[in-house]
Amino acid sequence: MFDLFLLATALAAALSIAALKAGRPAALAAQLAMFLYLAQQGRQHLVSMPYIGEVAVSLDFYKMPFAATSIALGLLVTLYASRYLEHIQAARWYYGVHALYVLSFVWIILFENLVFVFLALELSIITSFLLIWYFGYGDRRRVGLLYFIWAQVGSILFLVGVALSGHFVAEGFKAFGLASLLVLVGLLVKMGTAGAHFWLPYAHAEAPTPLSALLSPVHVGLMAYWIWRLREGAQWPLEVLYAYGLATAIYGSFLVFREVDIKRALADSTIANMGLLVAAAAVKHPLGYFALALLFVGHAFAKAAGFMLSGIYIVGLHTRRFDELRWDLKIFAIAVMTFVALSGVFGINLLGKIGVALGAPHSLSVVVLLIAALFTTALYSFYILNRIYKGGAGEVSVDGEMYISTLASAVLPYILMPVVLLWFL
Amino acid sequence: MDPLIYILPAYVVARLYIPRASLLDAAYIAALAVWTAKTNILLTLLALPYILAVFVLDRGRLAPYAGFAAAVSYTGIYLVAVGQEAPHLAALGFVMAAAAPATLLPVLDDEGSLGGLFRYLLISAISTSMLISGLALRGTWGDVGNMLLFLAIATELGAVPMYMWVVDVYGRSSPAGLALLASLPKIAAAAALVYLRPAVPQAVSLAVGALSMLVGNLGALTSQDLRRVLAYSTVAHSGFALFAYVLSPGLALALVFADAVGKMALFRQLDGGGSRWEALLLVMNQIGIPPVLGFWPKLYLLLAATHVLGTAAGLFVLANIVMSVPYYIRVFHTLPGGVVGFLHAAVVILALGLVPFAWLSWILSL
Repeated sequence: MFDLFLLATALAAALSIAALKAGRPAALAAQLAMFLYLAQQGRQHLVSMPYIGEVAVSLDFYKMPFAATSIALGLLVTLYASRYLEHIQAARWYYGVHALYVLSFVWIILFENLVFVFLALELSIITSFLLIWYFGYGDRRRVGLLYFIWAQVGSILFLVGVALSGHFVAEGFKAFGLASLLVLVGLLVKMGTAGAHFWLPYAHAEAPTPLSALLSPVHVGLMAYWIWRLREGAQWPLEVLYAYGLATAIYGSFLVFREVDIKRALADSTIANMGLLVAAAAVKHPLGYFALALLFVGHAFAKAAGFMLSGIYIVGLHTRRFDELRWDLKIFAIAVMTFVALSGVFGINLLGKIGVALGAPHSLSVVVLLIAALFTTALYSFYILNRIYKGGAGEVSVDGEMYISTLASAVLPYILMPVVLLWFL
Repeated sequence: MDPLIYILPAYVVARLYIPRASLLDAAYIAALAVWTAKTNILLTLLALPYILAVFVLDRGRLAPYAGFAAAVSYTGIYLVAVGQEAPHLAALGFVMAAAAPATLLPVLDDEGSLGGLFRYLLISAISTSMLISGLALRGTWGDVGNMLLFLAIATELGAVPMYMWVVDVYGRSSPAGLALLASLPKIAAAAALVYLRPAVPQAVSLAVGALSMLVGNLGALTSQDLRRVLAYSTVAHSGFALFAYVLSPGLALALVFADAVGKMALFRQLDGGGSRWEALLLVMNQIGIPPVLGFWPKLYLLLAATHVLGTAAGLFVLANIVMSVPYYIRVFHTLPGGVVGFLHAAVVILALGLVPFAWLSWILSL
């Protein structure tokens, strides 16, 4: 497996760097090469570093949905991006940085040493920062810096917490007091949950849309895996975390109603969904993991489809404002699938929400929060769908590749539902 | 018999007759480095920036001598390394290592750099005097000898309270000459720290280090001229190094090494421009953002400070790293763009950063 990891890394990194010059074909090849990572089994020692101990990678059953979704979505977005990047006249090196960004996701999940997880987080921050800085919208440089600083604050708090704990390896991780708190706060800042969220709508809305499609659902969502993974050793008060997650979901949902711009609305909705993920990661029930994985995967594909749809509008109608959006049948089909999945009314998101609900502690106030959270997260999705519908019917010109990849992303939460159910049965 | 006795005269004679001999300079440094690989691998690694320095100047009347200065300076470090038992050799080596690159400061013939050179020579004379006295006294009057040695090295590094010369000299000199002055003498001073290992009370080194970090960062945050910003950042890095010295002398050297290679390339870019990618890598190196070289020593400083000295010390180091971000972003904005850069340094910084396991354990064990 060591060889496989090295081979995948060498291929993916070399092709990503080649993509800086060669553009899309090399970026596609780089992301295809990343599937090699998924073929490895178990845990593999890479090297021992002084002080921070063993550096290993592993890919087990629990990591698989996160790693596989990241690569698959990265690939879909690469297919999608061509016409969009032409529209914003982006340079070819965009693809190379994009491929490195996707590579960072795989590493965030695969590494077992938390300092190396931090390193992977840094790669993800730098690559996404560059794409916002050079290809974002509006006041992109200010937003880029805002994003960079907050993402760094989250990562550094995580690192300091890990350093204080003295346990650098995920297995057998133990942290108390300040160390434990810093690790949690660092991860929550990176997720943009209530109280540490205000940078998120700016960054996710002003990023170039293909980046938003990864930044919003995958990048921030991966932190939930680490909350779940470290929760035992860090001894966080899980019931409080669960309630906080639900409160974030409600708060994030309400934020959506203030928006007049589809990308901003989708960015706010990410805050809500991160709340659900935090709640899922804090579920003590044995099904907690499944709730987390299903919500992550379902949200990733649905949210990416949402952002890809907004990209179709940007290219086709040159607008992001709700009141200027139009729909024809093929666009509306995507919108319905996207927002129904996002609402958690159907698709694997529904199964995820059920998992979260099953983990509710026996406390009336938390149950009220839970109901409110499940309801508001569904409500805002239908609100966005309604805003699109109210724009009225009209023709939207759409590029074939953009449409197919958006459609694929939108239907996946449904296709995966019978797969998951069959697997459970 | 030490091969230097044969190689050095042969090289100097050859160099006198060949005015433009970058390859010869690089070959001499490489030969010395290869020779020492068996007995002193640290010296071999330290050859990297010296070889880079051979090619760092591309204009100015003195530019063809950059390699010669680098070779003399590297020979100086060699003497410091082999002269641990022979103080006179160590002292000679320190002078050679520090002064040779400085003589190229006025490479562009400007008055400011000439003024800078005189000021530097004055400081260098003070620092060398302390070093010689320290080496001489160490055997009979240990505490005083060690303190003088430490002060000599701290002065050369530009630590508080002996830091004003750095700002003064950097602020008036041409960036072309500073590419050498801001890098090689610093590495020499840090190497002396490792080889001569002055034993001073922990509190002294920590206090000088902590104050230098703070003063350097505050100075850089409030300076406008890019040369002054980089001068203060050198003061801050000297602080990081002296703070790290009590934890691990090797770590102190690694901190200065990363800063020095970065400074060499930054001043080179300030003089002649360079690509944005290169500038980004260099700034990341200075702040300590992975995966480049500068990240690893800072990470280990943070970890070691937290565990050995406590949470407060760790947070202080972290605060100082974070404080440097705004002014380095300013440096990134202000550096002149262009296509022709000094790519070698950026490549070295990235390559060493990508393979930390190849050198980290070993440098920490020094």
